[in-house]
Amino acid sequence: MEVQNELYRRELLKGSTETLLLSLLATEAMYGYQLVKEMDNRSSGYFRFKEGTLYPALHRLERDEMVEGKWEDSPSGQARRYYYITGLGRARLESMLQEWSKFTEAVDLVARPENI
Amino acid sequence: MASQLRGYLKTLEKRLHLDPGERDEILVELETHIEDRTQDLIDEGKSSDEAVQDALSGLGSYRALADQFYEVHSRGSWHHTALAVLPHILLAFTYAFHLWKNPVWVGAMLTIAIGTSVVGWRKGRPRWTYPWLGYSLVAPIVSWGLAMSAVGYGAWVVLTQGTLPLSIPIYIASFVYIGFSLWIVIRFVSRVARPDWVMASLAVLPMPFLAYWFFFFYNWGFAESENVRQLREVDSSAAIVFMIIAVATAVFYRIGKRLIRVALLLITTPSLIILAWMSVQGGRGYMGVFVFVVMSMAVLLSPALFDLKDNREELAEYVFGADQTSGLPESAE
Repeated sequence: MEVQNELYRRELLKGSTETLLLSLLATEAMYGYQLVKEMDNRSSGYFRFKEGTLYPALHRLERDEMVEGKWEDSPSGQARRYYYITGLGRARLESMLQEWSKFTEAVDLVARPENI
Repeated sequence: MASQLRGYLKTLEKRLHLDPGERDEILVELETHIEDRTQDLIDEGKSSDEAVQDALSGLGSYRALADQFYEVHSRGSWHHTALAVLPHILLAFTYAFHLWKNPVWVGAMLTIAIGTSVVGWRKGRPRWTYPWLGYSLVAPIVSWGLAMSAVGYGAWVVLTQGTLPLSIPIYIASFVYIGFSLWIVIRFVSRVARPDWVMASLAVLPMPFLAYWFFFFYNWGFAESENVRQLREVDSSAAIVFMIIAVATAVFYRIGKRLIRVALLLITTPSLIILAWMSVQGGRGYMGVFVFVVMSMAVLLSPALFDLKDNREELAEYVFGADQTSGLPESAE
């Protein structure tokens, strides 16, 4: 059961990667490893990004002009590639969050009608 | 620790098949990530070697990682795709309206192709320039063929009649030109094929058909080309062929997966030759067309020779597993 839950969680994460990344970057610009840690903290360890998936996803968002990557010095003085959300990225995030609300509402209507 | 990290990045570098600028930026970004993760793991109490190993494992299979990066970076936007298919559409237009006999039009086309190629080459060869680069090679390849014919004819006459049909300075100039044009072609293919031989193959995609077309006219005789009805049929077929090349190029740019790109090129080339053969020669000479298809495939795959060393390592990875070739984990998922 635990294994099945883990697989289900991975599937959910795979489908939500773009939304989660844009949500994090909407609060502030971050670099890759910072995003991994921030995701871990905010979800209390529920979401653990695989780094091998994270970077191609960030580059895909950049190719689609939803984020912009810039090399800057981090507080420790080392250069890091920070990702900034763009206007297009914010609009996309807004639309995805609206869709997500409709989706979870519909799931509740079907799966837990007693709570409605 | 450092050697493990270097080994991982080196192996990844070989598999990325991207332009040097894009590739280096990805490698530096991943390197900083691994260093950060390693430091955190050391702070948590792990040994240096364990920390690096865990940090690398977090990135997963370098093959999957490289494939994902390739897919993201090599897929062209619609704008770039349109620029990439433009030379093929111009060629289709040229044949559809029988403009290939017009020297001003042909000269203008070659000038545009060479001009676009030179600008593209200087600007770091954006991917949409590759079809233009391919066409700009037509002039050196054709003139190379003509110079080779002149030298071959001269050698034949010397052997059979004992005299040279042309003067010695012409042969010296031909030899110099053969070397020079060959150098240009090899330099181009090697520079393009080093990061990604598949792009070089895309650049030479129309070459087999163009060669077939020249060969057809050579056999048919240009005098016969005054037969207007037959000429129009040949031109219509050529226009269709270049439209098919344009469509194949558009699909190539819009899909990022390398394996599908290779399959697309391998299917398109023989299909075009067979289509041209059926429409131009009415289906005669099976052996001739078979030989031409084989030669076309050889031309198309020839850029892979420049990448042979890496390909051998890739093949070894597929056959024996990654541990045999790099000592690194293929996957730590």
